[in-house]
Amino acid sequence: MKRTMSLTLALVLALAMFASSAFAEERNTITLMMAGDNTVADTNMVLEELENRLNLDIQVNYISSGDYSTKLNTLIAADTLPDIFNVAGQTALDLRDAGKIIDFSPYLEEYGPDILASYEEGELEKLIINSKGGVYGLNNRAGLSIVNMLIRKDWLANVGLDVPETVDELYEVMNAFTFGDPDGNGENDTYGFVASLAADPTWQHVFSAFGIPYAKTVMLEDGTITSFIKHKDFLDAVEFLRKLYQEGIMDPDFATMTQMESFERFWIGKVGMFNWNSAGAARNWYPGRYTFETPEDPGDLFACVRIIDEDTGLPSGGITPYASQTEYAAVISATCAHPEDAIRFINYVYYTEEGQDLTCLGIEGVMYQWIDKENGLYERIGEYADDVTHRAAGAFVYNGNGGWTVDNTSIRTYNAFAKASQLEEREYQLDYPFIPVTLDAYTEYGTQLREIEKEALANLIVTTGDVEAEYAEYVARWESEGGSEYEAQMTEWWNENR
Amino acid sequence: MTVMNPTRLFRKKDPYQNHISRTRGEKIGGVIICIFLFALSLIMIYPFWHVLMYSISEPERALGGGLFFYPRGISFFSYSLVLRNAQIWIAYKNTILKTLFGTLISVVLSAMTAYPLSVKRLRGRNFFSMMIFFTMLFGGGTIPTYLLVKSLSLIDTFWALILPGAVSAYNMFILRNYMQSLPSELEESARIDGAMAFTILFRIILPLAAPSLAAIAMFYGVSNWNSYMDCLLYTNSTSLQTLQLYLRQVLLQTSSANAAMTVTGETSEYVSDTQVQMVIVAVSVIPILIVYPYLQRFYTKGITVGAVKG
Repeated sequence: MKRTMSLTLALVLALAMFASSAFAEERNTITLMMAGDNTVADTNMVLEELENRLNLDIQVNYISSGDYSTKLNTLIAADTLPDIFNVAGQTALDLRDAGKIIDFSPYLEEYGPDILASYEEGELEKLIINSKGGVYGLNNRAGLSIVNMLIRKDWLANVGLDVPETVDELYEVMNAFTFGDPDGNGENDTYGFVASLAADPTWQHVFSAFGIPYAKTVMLEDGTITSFIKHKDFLDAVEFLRKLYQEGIMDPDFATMTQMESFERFWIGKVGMFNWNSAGAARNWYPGRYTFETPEDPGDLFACVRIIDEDTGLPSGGITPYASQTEYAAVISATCAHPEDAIRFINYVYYTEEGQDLTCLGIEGVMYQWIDKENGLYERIGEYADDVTHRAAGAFVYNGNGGWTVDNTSIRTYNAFAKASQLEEREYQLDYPFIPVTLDAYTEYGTQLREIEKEALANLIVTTGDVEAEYAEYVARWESEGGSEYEAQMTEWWNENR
Repeated sequence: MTVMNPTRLFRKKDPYQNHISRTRGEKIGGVIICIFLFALSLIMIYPFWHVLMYSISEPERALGGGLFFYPRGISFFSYSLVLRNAQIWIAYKNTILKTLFGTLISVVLSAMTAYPLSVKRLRGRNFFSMMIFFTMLFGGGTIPTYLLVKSLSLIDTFWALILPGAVSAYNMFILRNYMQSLPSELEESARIDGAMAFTILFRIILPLAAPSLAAIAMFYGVSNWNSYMDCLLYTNSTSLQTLQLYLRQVLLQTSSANAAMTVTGETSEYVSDTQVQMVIVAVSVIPILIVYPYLQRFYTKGITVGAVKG
């Protein structure tokens, strides 16, 4: 009896083992490394849903953005790259030339149709990494929001002025915003202008008003491509800022203030005019970041300032944002066992509306629901209304930009003011000679030259000496410390490629 | 009723009263030195004081920036929000475990390495000492160490946070020097009584080396608490994330202005991103700050006792 029982049990056990292996769902595994600043569990609802939808086992190595390059460099040196990762510049080209990343063009038609559909003819080839043929990398074209100069309408009403359209009117408004008690609290505690040397966009529109693309390249009359500090009207812009500084209209901490501190000045109502993209200021920050009372529609609070350019007679907008052609949001390593699955993953998550919505907003019906999908209105449901819970469940974590396509979840969920102000700003955007490659001179001197530019701006604003002489000294220093070589290489590249 | 003469009272307590009296110049010099050191200590204390005062200020009032000699209103709201995040507790748990187990393992391994090297009759003692000393001059480097950890299958395991840096050559030499300074007769008499090597180490040497052990335990403890590079390189799972890596992650969240949103997610009540960063810094520093005063005397003592040449 015992023997029969034992045999029966053994048989059942063996059958069960065979059955389980026969019916077990075999899933391929893909590994990816991504940079991000969320704190999320290794397994979460969105990731599990994604695994089910794609029938994949997805292992994510989520690295803080500040540490990403350290980790990636270690993995490159140790030759233990994940299947999918992002990489930029010369490192990407070296990996391609060393055969460490693959040309995944053979898989695109079958597994990446949405990727192909999102790029225009010849657009993929424009990426430096793909310039020798094949497709080795994809770039992220999301997040290309243009910078607006937002102004508070309630402050304008309090000081009895209109949205400024000329440099003189801009000064007049800034002056009133400083000394005219725009917030009506009876205290002299506001500034007309706040900018931070740590945040380039915060300066954009003041320089745009003089036709200068701040912190970008400019073309001189002789065709030389060079730094914005050599723009013919640079000193005019500096003089304007000097006036603001000396009269106490500009926040004097501009040289040491962090980006976050400059935001905070705007959030708490210490300044009523601020350079930042409306997608951030009138959507992401709105209304939670602002400590003062805000109307439901940000359009009732903000207007956009565009100073009329004296030369062209046209309003001056923010600087044209260009998608990077040297930063690759995704490359696939040569050790990837299932490149077709890697492409399938990228295609779904970053190039389809369904995948973008899942990874950005969460699981529909569980974590959020559409109120008016056509107009991008949605609401988060139950406990997922709380950001921590929402992100802990994996939403927003793997897709912070809403997708890598120009039109993506983030754009689709803009509010009316953000949408309109972004579109309108594009009409007046300030273009500049964009150099998409990383030139040798930039690698060698780029950081140092940028520091000189910042130092020049800071010192020229606060100096009590001879501004023109000091400016000439800075330009000479910029040129002698690698700037001349850099502008020669930029000009050469521009003439050959544009 | 007796009225005490204050001058006399002061004189009695003056430590210089029974010694050489100070000249006027020395007194002035002393005052200047005191002022200088006081100012220096203020400069050193202020950054942490600023963090602490900012972190307990009311978020909206803290946003004005500037110096924080005292809190602007009192609010522990940001603390409560930060401590609600599950990841900070995971990070805390990992760091505490790493500090406790890492320190224990390090101290045991260091002692077991230091003891034989302190025994003069050990053949090749100088060779082994030189080999270990060499690692103080030339480290293996990040990549070879990573490859070693990988080939040992330690990647993404808790052991990867403990074993690669388990023995510090510097700490081992401090311990070895201290053990060398102990009278060799103690070991000899134990051996005559029949004690074997492990008995001598654990029953005779280590109890006598307690001051030095405490010092290196302190060094290892602080090092384990503060380390983040090993966690960054050798682990992939957030379940193994340590406090310092978590702290760094939060501190780096300046570009997207979402630190507060990420950590606290609270949108109904105002939370400042900078304040969240201050809170995280305070939360990660406070435990070590509480422990440090009790252990800091071992720093000096540990180095001086280890410096005695045997």
